[in-house]
Amino acid sequence: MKILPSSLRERKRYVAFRLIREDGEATDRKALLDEIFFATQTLLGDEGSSEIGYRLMDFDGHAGIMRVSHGALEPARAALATVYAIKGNRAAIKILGVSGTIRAATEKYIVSENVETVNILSRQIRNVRMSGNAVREKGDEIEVIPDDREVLKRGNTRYLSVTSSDIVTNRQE
Amino acid sequence: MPQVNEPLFYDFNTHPYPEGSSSASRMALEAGKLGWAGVCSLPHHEYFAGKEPLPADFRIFRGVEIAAANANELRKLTDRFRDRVQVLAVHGGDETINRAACEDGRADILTHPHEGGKTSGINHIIAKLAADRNVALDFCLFPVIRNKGGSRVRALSSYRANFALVRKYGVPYVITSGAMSHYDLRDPRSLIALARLFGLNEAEAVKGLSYYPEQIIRRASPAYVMDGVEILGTNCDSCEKGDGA
Repeated sequence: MKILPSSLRERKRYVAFRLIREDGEATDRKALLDEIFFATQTLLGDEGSSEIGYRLMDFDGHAGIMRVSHGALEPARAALATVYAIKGNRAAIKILGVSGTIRAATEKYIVSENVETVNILSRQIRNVRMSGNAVREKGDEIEVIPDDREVLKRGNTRYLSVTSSDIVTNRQE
Repeated sequence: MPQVNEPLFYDFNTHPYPEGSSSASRMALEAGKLGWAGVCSLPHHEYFAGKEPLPADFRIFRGVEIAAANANELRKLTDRFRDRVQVLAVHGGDETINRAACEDGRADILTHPHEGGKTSGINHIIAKLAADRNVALDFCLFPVIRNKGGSRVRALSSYRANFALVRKYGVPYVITSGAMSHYDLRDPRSLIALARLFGLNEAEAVKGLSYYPEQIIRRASPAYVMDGVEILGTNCDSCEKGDGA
């Protein structure tokens, strides 16, 4: 079948996003799409999902580009915001920007991350306000397993997330 | 990065460590990346430490959310915390608490008034009081992001009902993420999109993310005297010493 002339095709928007995940691992396409479709389904239903017409154009496990239909950008943003976990792992989709072409979205918003994630076997952190073992760091971001597990239940995460400044200022105290 | 002519957005309800599982500086780091101009650390009062250092490189406001069992306790806790924080919120839900918070008027924000019972927690009387005393209603999107099914439906329909009253009586309101960890933070545009699900238009959503939070910040500044009266021209250090005005 002959494809539609460009003037008759539906207008689209390309959403550049980054997926952050608690364990820091890469996510596969299918798991991400399942989760997005499920979130959209529960929030907007069949009719809303059909209007958005998701298509994942590009995804490397951490960042990607999602095509949505031009008129349904707002509900798509809302639906993407309600993705809460991927396969039991806390996760969040952070939208970096929206463009009219794949190229513009890639050039403007997708910046490759050069910061390495380092797993630390165990490093004791003990100060006035918190105590626990640091398990992973990535630049300034540090994940800690605290001695007080209640806080993880309240936040519904596996680690306590802090930054290097929390640890430095505490040494001085 | 926000552009110069764009409004500055503030997320006025986050619960950093020790209540939630991300430290205030981590929340600030993630919020900065998402395009927020500032966030408010708003722990429930039993987790309020008061003196913990807040990151200096990002606008993070010190607040507290008071969870009181009755109106009397609410008054006592308000007395205790009002001068120690920039933003004072009341943990709403119970109808008497909702009403007491709006009657008292010293609180800046009334959070999730719908969470107590079957109603949306706000009626025309409470709405009028809130508008009168400048108590902002919090439309916290945490239940919309986090929950599925029944509880999300209830949250959305309460918000819809409450926003109708907000519109009619001109009650101030804030739209917040209610984040318990940095995974719960969303960018301002996403919150606008979520707010549109319960009937706000874009201008109204932007107002709840930037105009009303700015009003609250303005009230918290030392140069503010009362509505319409502000100390201008001198810097705030000198007016605190008493030789400015």
